[in-house]
Amino acid sequence: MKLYDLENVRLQCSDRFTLAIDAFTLAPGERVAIVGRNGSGKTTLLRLLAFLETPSAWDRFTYRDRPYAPGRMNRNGLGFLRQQPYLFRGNVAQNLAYPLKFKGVSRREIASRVEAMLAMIDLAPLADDAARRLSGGEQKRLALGRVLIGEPQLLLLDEPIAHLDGHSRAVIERLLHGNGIPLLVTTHDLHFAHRVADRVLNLTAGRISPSLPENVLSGRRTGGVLTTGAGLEIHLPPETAMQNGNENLMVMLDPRSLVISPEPLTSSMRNCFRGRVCSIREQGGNVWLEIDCGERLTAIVSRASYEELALNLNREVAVSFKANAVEVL
Amino acid sequence: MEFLFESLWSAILMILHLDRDLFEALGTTLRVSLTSTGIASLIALPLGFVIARYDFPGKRGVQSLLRTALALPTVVVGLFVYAFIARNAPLGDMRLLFTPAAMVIGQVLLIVPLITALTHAALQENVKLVHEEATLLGASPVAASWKVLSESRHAVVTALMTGFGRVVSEVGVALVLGGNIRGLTRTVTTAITLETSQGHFSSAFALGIVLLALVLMINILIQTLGGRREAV
Repeated sequence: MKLYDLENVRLQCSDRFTLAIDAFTLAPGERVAIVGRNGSGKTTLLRLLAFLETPSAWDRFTYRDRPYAPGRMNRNGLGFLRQQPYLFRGNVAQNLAYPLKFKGVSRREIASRVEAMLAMIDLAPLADDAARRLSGGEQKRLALGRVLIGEPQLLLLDEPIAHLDGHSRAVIERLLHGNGIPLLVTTHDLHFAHRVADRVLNLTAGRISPSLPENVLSGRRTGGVLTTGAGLEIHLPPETAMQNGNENLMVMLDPRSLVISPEPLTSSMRNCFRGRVCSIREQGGNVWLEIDCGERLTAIVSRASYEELALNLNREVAVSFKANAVEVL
Repeated sequence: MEFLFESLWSAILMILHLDRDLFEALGTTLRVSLTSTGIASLIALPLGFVIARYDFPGKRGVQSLLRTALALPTVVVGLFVYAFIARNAPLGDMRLLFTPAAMVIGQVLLIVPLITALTHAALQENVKLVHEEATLLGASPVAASWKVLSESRHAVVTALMTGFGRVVSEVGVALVLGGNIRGLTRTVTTAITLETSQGHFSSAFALGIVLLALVLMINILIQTLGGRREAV
């Protein structure tokens, strides 16, 4: 049995792109992380899998081997955590009790399970506090506790650690590590993705790919410059550059933010490298170029630009991008 | 100013002397208004919820109709119902005209659009989010809908109180469908109309003061009960 089995599932997310899942499966016990930029369709994908969105077309879409039927899918056992959870009126303990109340669990059992969960999410001292007055991290822990108290058999978590302090991150990671429940989690944080998941997938413009996101580079930061393993010196955005000290860092470059030119440009762009085109492929009406600058960088250009620049394999080009185009992971 | 003080004194005297006409009118007002508000809320709350929660063809048209219905003159509603329940009308055999039941029917028609519109306005911001969240946490469709209403309970109670305020103070429906029969369909507002038409302005004003005092007490009672529930 597979928890999910999708083939050629389409859903119009916005005018910009369509969520297009060519093939995706989730096996029992499997833990998968989806990484991708803002607006890549991560939340929509989770909502689709929680049957909160209706696909416009699909060849195969099954949940626990049952074919998808709009408006008639059973969500029993499915735990869903929003990126910005909605907490009900009332205090922390009352919020935790709701899933059990909805299931008709006895008052005595609710009390004992709520008490245990309060300890697990490290909110026992705040049990009587108004849920909506908690800090962002506490609210996220409460929301995750409220999902877990219902004993789900599958977790769909949307950015569970985004914008959280270290303590809340640690509590959430501990909870996720300790339960062994099959998991599909979206995140920006590659390290977190690898820690909680067995498989990390990339979602770019609504398409899942098995590889990591394009242009993920790691290296050592010294002041405002990151030196990659291959010796590429990348100027970082000012907010990162202003931080003191040296550290190991992972960064990502949007392939669309890379400017390709035959010769190095005189411009405000702080990063400029020479390299050779080592791969060319066409996808979604654009041309994807892989350029070897010591590190392999992927750039996306329009078909018209590709033709105007007369690009071909082994052609030497310059790759430029702003320091602000570097996303620190 | 003298007229106002005289009216206030008359109101106090009426209450102290347990004026029979006053208490009969108050009793009828309360009975009819609470019944019509209760029945209207059973129709308007689910209706407001459905309009806020779901998208359907013609939703904007329904919203426009509701807003238009807020301006319904009470006499027009009275005449509309009269056309159905008058002696020779289709429902004439039911002998509803000039009974409290007829007043209730008219008042329900009057405030269903009002409570629906206010409920819709109160719920529309969060309804999808709350309903979805409750459903994801295992609530049945009924429990999830109830959760939506309870999350916006202050606004919903305000909608109900606004509906109650509208029927308790209206005169058109009560007069056209009730007939202002002493001891049976005379309400405080129809009594005020009668006193005014007879030139007894201070008595009319005194009745108005009593009516306002009654509504104020009901409001305070609801707020106190709501506050206690909130504290639990």
